[in-house]
Amino acid sequence: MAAGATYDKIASTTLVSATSTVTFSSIPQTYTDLVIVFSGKAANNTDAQVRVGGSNTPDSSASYSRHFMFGYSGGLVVDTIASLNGFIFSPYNENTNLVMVLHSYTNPNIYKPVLIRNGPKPSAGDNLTYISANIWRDATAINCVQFYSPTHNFSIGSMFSIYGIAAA
Amino acid sequence: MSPNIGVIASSTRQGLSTTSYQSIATATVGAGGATSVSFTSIPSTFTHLEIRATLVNASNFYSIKLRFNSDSGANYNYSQLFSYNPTNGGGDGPGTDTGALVGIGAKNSASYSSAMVAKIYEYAKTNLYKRVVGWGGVDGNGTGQTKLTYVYWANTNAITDIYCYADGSTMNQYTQFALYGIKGA
Repeated sequence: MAAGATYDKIASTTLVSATSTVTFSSIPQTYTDLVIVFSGKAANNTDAQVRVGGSNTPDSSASYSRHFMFGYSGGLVVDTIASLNGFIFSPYNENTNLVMVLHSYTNPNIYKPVLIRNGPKPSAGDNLTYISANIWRDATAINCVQFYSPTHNFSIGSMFSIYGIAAA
Repeated sequence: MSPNIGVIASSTRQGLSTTSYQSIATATVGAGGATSVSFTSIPSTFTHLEIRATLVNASNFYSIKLRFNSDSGANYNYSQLFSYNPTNGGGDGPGTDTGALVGIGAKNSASYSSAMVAKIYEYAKTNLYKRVVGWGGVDGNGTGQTKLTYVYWANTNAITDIYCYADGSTMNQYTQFALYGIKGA
């Protein structure tokens, strides 16, 4: 009862110059879920976005929303925010990580659910562990993913990767 | 695997692979909806299992749970870290349940969906209780929940069957559960 290979790297890039935007286009439609990974930092602590879309066009409209909790030295914080312009995560000015799972990204019948884990910033006072549930209120099959940091550029050496997971 | 009524089950992927993360089987809920899906005759050749699910529910935010080897007793011991709208959160447990809590179903809508990833560790061993880590969440554009759960099944039998269900709800069309095997070194 052997199974098939199912967890593939689709694309990855490491920055050689600072930039505000990294875009992956023409993502194959042959997987079931995507795993999107960021390992790096920004010029300063900031909120950044991951935008998705079809037809190689990232959607920057207010079609995203999130519910999140994070723990830090001050305890547990929970909030719910509607009508955002991307899936929110936080790169810091020291190396941080994002793991984002995007389920059923090609299903044209449902809004797309996303789970995010993000953190920590390795300096005293601001260490945090963040998880969130998110949705993109659009049933379009996704074939592009864009990282966008509107305030502080992603730094040299930051790595962006996309993996595909196929179901039987 | 054995399909349920209203569930479209794929065939198991065939062919030799040397990768350590492999698809075993997938179950997709069809137009009639379903309260559960099952994976049976799970091969014992992996070290761990992972279930990834996209959930479309007929009721708001129902719990998604797993049962092993048809055990519906209160043998699932859990604790969880959770949050719910708009600003509530905390921890819960230890407690016992009749299924392993691993995630949350979506907002009651034909379009909204939620996501869940659960890992089942050392499922084929016969000398220890089986541990499950669940990660799930749902967002409804102004509502939402997240969960991180830890469950152990108080049973040393190797897991051969997994029953996945929405506790108190029907899962609607486009709900999908996919079972993967992870090999050890």
